[in-house]
Amino acid sequence: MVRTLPLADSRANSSSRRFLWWRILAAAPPLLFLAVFFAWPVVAILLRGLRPDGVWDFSAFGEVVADPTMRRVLWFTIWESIASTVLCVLFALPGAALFARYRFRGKRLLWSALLVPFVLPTVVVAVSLLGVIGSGGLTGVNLSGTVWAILIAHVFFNYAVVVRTVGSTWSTIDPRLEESAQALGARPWRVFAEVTWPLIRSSVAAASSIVFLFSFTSFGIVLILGGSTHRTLEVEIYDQTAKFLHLDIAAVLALLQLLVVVMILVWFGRSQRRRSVLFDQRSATETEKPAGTPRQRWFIRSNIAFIAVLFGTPLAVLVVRSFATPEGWGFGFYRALTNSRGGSTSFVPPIDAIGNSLLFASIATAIALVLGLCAAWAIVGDGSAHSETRFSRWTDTALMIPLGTSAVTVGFGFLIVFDEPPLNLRSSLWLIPIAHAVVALPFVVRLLVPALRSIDPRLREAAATLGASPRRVWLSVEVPIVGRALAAAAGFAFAVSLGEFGATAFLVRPDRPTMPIAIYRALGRPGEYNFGQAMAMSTILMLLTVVVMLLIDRFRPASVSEF
Amino acid sequence: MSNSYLVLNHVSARHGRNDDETLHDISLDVTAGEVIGVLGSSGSGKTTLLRVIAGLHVASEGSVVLDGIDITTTPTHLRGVGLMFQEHALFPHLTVSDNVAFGLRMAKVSNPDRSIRVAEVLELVGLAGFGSRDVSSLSGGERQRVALARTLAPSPRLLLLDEPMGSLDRILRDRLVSELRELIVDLGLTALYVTHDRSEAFALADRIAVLDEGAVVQIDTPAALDACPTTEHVARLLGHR
Repeated sequence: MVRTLPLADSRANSSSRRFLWWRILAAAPPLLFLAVFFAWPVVAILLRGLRPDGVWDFSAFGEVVADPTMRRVLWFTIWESIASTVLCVLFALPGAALFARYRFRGKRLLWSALLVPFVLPTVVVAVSLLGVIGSGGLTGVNLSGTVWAILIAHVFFNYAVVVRTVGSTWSTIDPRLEESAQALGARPWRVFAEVTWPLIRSSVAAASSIVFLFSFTSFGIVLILGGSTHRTLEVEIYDQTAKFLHLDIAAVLALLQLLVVVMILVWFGRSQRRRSVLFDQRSATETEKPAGTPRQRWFIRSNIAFIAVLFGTPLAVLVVRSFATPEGWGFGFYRALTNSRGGSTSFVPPIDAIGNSLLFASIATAIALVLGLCAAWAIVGDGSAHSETRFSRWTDTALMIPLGTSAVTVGFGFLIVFDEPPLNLRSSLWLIPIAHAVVALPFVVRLLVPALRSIDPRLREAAATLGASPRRVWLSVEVPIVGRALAAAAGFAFAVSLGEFGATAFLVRPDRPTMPIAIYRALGRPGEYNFGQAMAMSTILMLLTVVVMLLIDRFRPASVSEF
Repeated sequence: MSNSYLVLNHVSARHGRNDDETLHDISLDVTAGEVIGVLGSSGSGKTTLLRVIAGLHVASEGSVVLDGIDITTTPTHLRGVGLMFQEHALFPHLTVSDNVAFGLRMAKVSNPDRSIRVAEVLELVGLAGFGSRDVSSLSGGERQRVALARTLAPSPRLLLLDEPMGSLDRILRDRLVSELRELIVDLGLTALYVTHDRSEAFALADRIAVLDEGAVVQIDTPAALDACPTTEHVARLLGHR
């Protein structure tokens, strides 16, 4: 009996080692993909900026930093992102409280609808805001070209991130903590400052860092709403490359941007570890209550009204104006999308862009799903406690990095790397879906990992004791459970690809525009009909995105969502 | 009625998901220094009753008078009542002494006085020296004591206890109940003690109010209650056959 023990032990060891090999094998495709299509382009940018002629040379760096124009751009990018983040958190905290603490009619619907602005293509966000605060807009105030337009757009775009991230944390806090504080003599604002805030602080920090990164790398919104005076690093990189062909300056700017992004991510990781307070989490249905007092009813109503005005107005105006042609109500702008006007040889009917976008999005989704699934499986392993290893954490982090990197950097990097052997894809149609897959992959992984983790390891063990091989366990236990998360991830990847603008702007071929590119082109041409076409195309893109999001919400597993 | 301390006049309130924890026309008269046990099964409205007295829930009708002053519409933080929950609701981001000091800070007690009082109260509940501990490191019984210390520190005018022993095991519970009784009597506090457990109510209370479907069906001393329960429901709650 005693002698059999070491034998059993060594068998267990070898099987767990084999398991690690499986995981490394699973992690290989996504990591390889990111190495070629993310790391290589980024490193190429680095070298282009710091080692232009095969020698390390930091003079371009110095020049850029010394140039007052560039310093202005850098400074504007920083303060604009901070202002956007602060405003967004201030406006969204009441919304988070609304969803965390109250029960009201239409709550679930509103919670889902909040996601619409976040997944809307930035180009559509910008165009719909032009309809309200642009020249000839609904409000009669023209903020186009001012920093206010940018800030409003960033709040519009990121509101849901804060409300959903902070709201879900807040809803798990036992209301009796707040009630105890009240009974101990704390007036309402002190209850918030002394009890609620310390407990939601780390999730506010998480949401803030996402908002900051999105605002810092904001491209479409700033390009369309910022005019010629307000430029972020992202816009400057694009102009330096596409307009002035100053690749070295663009490279240095991209490098600066990358530096800030990495700094933010590192700071965020540290602060999370230091600050987060563990507490007994309650289920959200346990902590919500209907409005009891007139004040609470007023709070709920004014909050919903704010959300309706902030999101409803621009989107409604967009749709309405897409039908308001100079000749009266009708489909004039939509019909114009099918015309190949303008006389330019490279000009194709804008309607073609719909087909292009759908094609690119399908390919990008397929790539992101296959790679994401491999990655998620490698990260989670068999889901038991000891499967959380340095390997899984490392893989997880590596796959998140593209999330913090600007799309323009990816597009620009592609341009540098893939126009010469060994990989000459310059004129290939593959570049765009690949770039989209790079952008979408982190989202896919983030949706799949929690779903895989949510599978009780005992289910696997039960299946195994019933004689199922690892492959059978995977097919019979994991695939069905993960199916829903997979559908949600597919929808998300599809929406990300449909709306992607920054990288596409670099890679697009004149005869194969995507929908956001077609919208941007129409905006760039003078005349009411062109603006109308932008409105019409934006409406179509918005509808496509909303349909995809509605499909996601049908499939979304209840417990799995980070934002 | 000359020494009435807490008076509830015909209080009604709606609460719960389907208004199931509703109060119907509750009247109660508590003398200073008295400990009232509120006994009832779950859903009988006993928690709602405490919440109305604490001001966490608004009564739809009736009034609450504490020490001669109508506090029906007074916000919770100005009522000066001590409230203790079943799961203790300790602030997870604060240490033991910061938890206990919370009410004192809200009352703007100066720093040195605060430390003295915190040490004093911790000693009172038998947790001297626990001040710097993290609340997550405490056992169930210790958490319960910290919650009690936190409630007692600002010297509340009234003590409201909502199944404070609910999450503890039987043996610990019996010991703590007798300790708690001693403490309340020593400090001369007026208290309402909500429970579904007859033995706890009998061990603690001077009088017991039996709640059923949001109404007080009987209120009397434990002995009298035990001797002649007026309804079948009361008898069942007391363990009679």
